[in-house]
Amino acid sequence: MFTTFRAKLTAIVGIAALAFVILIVVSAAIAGRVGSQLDDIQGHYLPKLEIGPQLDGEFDLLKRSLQDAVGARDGDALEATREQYDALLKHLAAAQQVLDSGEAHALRDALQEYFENAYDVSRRMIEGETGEDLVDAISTMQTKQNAAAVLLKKTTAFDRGELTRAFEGASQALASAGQVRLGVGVGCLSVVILLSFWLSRSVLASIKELSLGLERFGQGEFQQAIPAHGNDELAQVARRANVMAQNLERLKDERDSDDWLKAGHAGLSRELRGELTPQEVGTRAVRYLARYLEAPAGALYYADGSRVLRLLGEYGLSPMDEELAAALSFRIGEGLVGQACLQDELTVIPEPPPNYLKVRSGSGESTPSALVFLPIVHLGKVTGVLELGLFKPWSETLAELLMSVRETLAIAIEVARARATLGEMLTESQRQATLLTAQEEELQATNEELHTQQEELRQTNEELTQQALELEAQRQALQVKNGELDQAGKELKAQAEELTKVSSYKSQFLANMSHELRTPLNSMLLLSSLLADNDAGNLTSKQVEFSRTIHSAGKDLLALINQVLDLAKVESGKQQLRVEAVPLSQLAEHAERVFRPLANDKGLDFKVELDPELPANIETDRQRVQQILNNLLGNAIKFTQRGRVALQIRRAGPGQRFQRADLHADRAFSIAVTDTGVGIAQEHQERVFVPFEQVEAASDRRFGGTGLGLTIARELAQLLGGTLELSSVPGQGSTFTCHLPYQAPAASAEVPRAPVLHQAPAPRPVQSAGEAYLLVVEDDPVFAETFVEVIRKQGLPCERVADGKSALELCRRRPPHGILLDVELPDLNGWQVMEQLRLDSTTASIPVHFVSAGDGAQRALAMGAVGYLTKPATRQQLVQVVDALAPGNSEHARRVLVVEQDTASSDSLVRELLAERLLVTRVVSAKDALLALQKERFVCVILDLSMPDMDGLEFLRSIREQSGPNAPSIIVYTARPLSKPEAKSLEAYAETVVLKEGSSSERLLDEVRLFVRRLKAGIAPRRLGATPGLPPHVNLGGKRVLVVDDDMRTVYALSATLRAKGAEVLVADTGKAALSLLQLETDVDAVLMDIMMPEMDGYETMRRIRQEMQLSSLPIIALTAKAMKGDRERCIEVGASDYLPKPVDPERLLAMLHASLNGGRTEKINDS
Amino acid sequence: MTPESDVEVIEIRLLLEAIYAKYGYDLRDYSQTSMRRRVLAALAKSGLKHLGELQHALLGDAGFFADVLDGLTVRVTEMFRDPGFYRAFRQRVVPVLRTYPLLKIWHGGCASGEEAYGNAILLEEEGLYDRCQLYATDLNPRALEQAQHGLYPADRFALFGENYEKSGGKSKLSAYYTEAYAQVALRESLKRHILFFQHNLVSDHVFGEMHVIFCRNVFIYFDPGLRQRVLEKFAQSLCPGGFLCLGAGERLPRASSLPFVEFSPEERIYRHAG
Repeated sequence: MFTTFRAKLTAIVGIAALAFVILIVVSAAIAGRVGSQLDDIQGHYLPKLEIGPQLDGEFDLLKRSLQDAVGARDGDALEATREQYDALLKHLAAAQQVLDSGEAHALRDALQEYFENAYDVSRRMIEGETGEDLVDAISTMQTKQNAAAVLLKKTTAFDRGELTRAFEGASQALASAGQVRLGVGVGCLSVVILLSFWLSRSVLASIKELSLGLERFGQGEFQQAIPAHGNDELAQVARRANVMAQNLERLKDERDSDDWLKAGHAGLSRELRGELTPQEVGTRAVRYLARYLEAPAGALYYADGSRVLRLLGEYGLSPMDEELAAALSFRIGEGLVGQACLQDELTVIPEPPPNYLKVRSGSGESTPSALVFLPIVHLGKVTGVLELGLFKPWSETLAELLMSVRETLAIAIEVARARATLGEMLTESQRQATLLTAQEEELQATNEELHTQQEELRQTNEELTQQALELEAQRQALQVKNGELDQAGKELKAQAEELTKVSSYKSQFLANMSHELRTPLNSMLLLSSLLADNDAGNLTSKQVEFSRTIHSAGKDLLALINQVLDLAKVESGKQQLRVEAVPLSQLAEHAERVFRPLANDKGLDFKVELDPELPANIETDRQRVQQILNNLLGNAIKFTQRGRVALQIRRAGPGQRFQRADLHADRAFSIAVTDTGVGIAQEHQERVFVPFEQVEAASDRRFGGTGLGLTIARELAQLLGGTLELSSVPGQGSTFTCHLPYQAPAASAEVPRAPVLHQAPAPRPVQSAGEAYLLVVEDDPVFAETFVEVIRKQGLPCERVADGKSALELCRRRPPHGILLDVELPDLNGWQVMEQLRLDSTTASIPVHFVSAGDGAQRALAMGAVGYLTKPATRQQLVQVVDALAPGNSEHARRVLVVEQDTASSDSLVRELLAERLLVTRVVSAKDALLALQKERFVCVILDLSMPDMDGLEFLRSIREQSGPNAPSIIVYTARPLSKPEAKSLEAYAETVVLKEGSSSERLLDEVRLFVRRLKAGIAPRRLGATPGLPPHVNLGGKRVLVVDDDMRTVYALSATLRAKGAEVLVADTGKAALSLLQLETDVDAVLMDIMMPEMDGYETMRRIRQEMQLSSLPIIALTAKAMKGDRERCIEVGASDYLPKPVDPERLLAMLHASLNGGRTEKINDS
Repeated sequence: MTPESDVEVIEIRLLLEAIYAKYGYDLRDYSQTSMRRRVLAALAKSGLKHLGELQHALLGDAGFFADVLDGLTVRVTEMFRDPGFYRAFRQRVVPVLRTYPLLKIWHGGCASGEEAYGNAILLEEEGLYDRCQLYATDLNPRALEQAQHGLYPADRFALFGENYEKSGGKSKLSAYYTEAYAQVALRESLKRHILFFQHNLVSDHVFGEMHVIFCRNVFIYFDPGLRQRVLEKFAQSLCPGGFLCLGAGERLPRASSLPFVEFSPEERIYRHAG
């Protein structure tokens, strides 16, 4: 039947076509019927409709023609009516077939009768007949006429009913034809629709099933296939779709397992990401894989290079301590794990032995269903094994996953291991790098050091070469002597060796002896003292006396032994010093306390003197000093029968000579013990210091003693860095003097010994020997000679010239340390010489002392002279003058004025100054200070700004004005809070300012020391505003110069230079200040402009002066430290007339100013 | 020495001579090894092939020179670098500085100014800043420009803050700046006593009497002769008892006539002996 849709469709279309044909046939049949009926109407009724009126008309026409002919009496016309009649008959005959034939015949006959009658009547009438006949004929004729008219009417009359009937028949036929057509059409249509409906229903159901099925497939539900009924196209599609679904399902399964594998792999990779240790890798890997595979337990073993597999990580195993875990290891080939390692394949044990592995959870224990061993392979070598216990059934996918991750795992472990190794190496290398850096730095330092050393060496080398030549000559001379010395040396060496041996024997012996002696001696002392106590009362007084003697002799013996030991210790250098601050007053008190009673006992006069100028404390070993003191005083009292014993502790006298070169008069003091005893002859004086020697030992035993005391005292003095000396006149007494330094050498074991007692005196330190000389400028030979002699006596070199020119010439060539300058000289007078000296920077700071018969002290001091001596002068005065000029000694250079109200703070300051050997004048008020400054020259003033009678700043200003550039250096030391402008002006007036804040006392002392050091070194103190070497021809008289600089020192120096040349100086410390000042002061002649200033720099200031203030012709000289290419141009660009680099050379400055002020400005600019 | 490197040495010398002759920047006495490194780095950066070309380009183009100069000179500084130094400075130097009514402090070779600002902070905290005038100088105008702006990349301030705390800072470093857009703007008030100025340690003169001179980690780029010359300048500029502060790797030449004494040698603080 119709199995396919195509067949079904064809059937439907066929049926529809058939129905259509039937419809057409039926329609045609109906149309035929209706047509014949219509033809009937057309053939029969329509001609009748036309003929009736035609015949009617002709008949009428005939009647009228007859009447007309009668009327006219025309025969011819009557004849003519015949023709009309014939035509009428002819027409009637023609219409015969339309008309009913009977009727037509009747009509023809009627017509014929009418015409026969009419014609007859008419003719008779024309012929004029009258009568009755005629009238009868006429009425007959009319009857005939009416009959013909009725008949005509009847014949041609349209039969309406008949026509209506005909039309009704036709319309009836038509209606029935429509009904038939409709019926047939509806029937056909219904069939077709039914068929189509059936067809579509079956198609739609299939399609729905198909689409539902496809939708299911789309959603991934492949289990339910699409039902495929029959064999139509949709069923085929469904079958194909089912096949496709099966394929898809297979693919999906494959993909799912693939995804699972990949996810597992990726998850593992993710898990092993980051910087992990091998253990972390192991633990994480096992944990992850176990969870992923839903395995309850797992372990990873790894062989790191060895043949032993160690546990690297585990999961779900019974908890074990780390030690056990570490011990959990297998040799390769040993046990299941070890076995697994031998092959490259997975080992699966489907049913593990029941007790092989148990998985414990909180609720119970179970044995996994399968065990898997995965050998881990790295670079083709099995390096580890992963063991997993599974609950899940074993599957290929699991195997695949495991096989696929093992490389990842191996790599991760290897990487972690490599990283661990790398980390260790990194730490190591970092350590080494630090080490290296340190070494490098050292090396660099050494390198630099070497470099400088190399340079020095080169120089030394050259000197050495020179010396080598000289030495060669000496060497040859020495060689001769050497032979002799060699011999002597050998002998000496032998002796020395012997001596050392002996000495060590001695020390050894002494040590032994003392011990051996002390033990029995102790018993003896104890027993004799017991005996002397005579507790039992069984001894006679004589015996008690003897016991006392034994005890006292024993004590003497013990003292002797102790001293011997002391000496041995000192001699062998074993004595240690304990250096500490020792108040000298304590030493004096000690002497007083211990020895006054002894001296009084013997009836001796005892006196202790302590020099107040000594520092309060010295740094030394108190015990040793006391030991020396005890020895000296003990001896003195012991050997003096009458008279007095005196102890003097005092400063070493200036120029004091010492037996030790390292002692300096300014850092040493002496302890002198003088007695009026027997005295010691010159030849014996050294012997008193020899051990066990006593003067006239044989002859005089009165004094007893060990003879070691002085030896020890001298040794101790040496140890303390000092000396012990003796001067004595026999019969008059002796003085032992111990010279000690303020600071004992720091606990040195090796004390320089002084075996040779008569040492050459250390050369007196002279400042820059050869350089420091005094110059006498004096034309009076006698007076000059006296001076020279005095100077030579002071031990100073000296030069003498008789006129000013040679004096200046010599000074420039070889600047002296000081000048004695006569005012009355043959060529230049003293004033002129002084002026010239001050102009030259090399000679400007040489101290000059005037000597003159005239009166000019004021002038001299104003010029900066040290002093002024009026002739005639005594020799004493000359000595003082020379003293004042001597290097480091000049008295004026040591005078310091302290202006301070707070006595407490000035006390310590004064002490410090005194310790520096400065001469201190102390005042409280400004008035006194000014007075002191007028009377004397001071090298330095230490000033507290808070003075009762005058403002400190005002005071400073007046000192500066009073003394000009030769004013003393001023150190301001103040607690007064300073405003910035105040601080700035202080900067200009004072050498330095120390605020009483922070570590101010230290700093003040630093400043003082610094100052003193400079003084002593002969460096002139940094004078503010010293103006050496100004060109004499420049005159700035009446000019007003504005100095703009924030550095007050520079300002001051510049001002001094300018003022010295007669200029009036205005000062501004910032660019802004300069601008406002220029607005106020209109008659400024020139500006000196610093560039580097805060707030507004010099460039900007100059630009504004030129542009905003329109001061285009004002000379401005820029002062700048900048010396780079283009700096000058930049200054000129913004408006500087000229440019001067810092530090400013006064001479150039003046020359430039001179040129600018005298119209040389443009020339200068062009010059640049 | 190979002939090639011989040629290189000559070329570098010529280049430095050319720079000096044309622009006045005297880099001739900088330490040879480090200058060589930086010249070669500048060459590499410029994309030119030979030192000769670099020289030609430098002479012809001032803008290019400014770029190159930027690389040839040192621009790295840090705030509170070597905290130990600053601790020592606070503890030992500041008490002395308190005794001065006015303080002038010179940062020689201040580069981009971090150190100078750090010092300003320190002095502010010690209550001394209003007595101070800081002169921060460098020869590189670009570095100075940055220093003047006081704008720095914020990322370095973590380190600075750490340094600051280690150096004994009394507050938080962040109290001295505002941070926005990964930039740090130092407080404007810190600038009130700093004068940034172009100054060339090699060729320019001293410009005033200073109480403290900072010249840290600059000398390492100088050869010994230049070091000596600059140290002489510092000696000239420092007041007696004034402080000279050098960088951690730098020390004074052992045998020299310079008037400096050790004050805290391990922190490289020296004092003018007067």
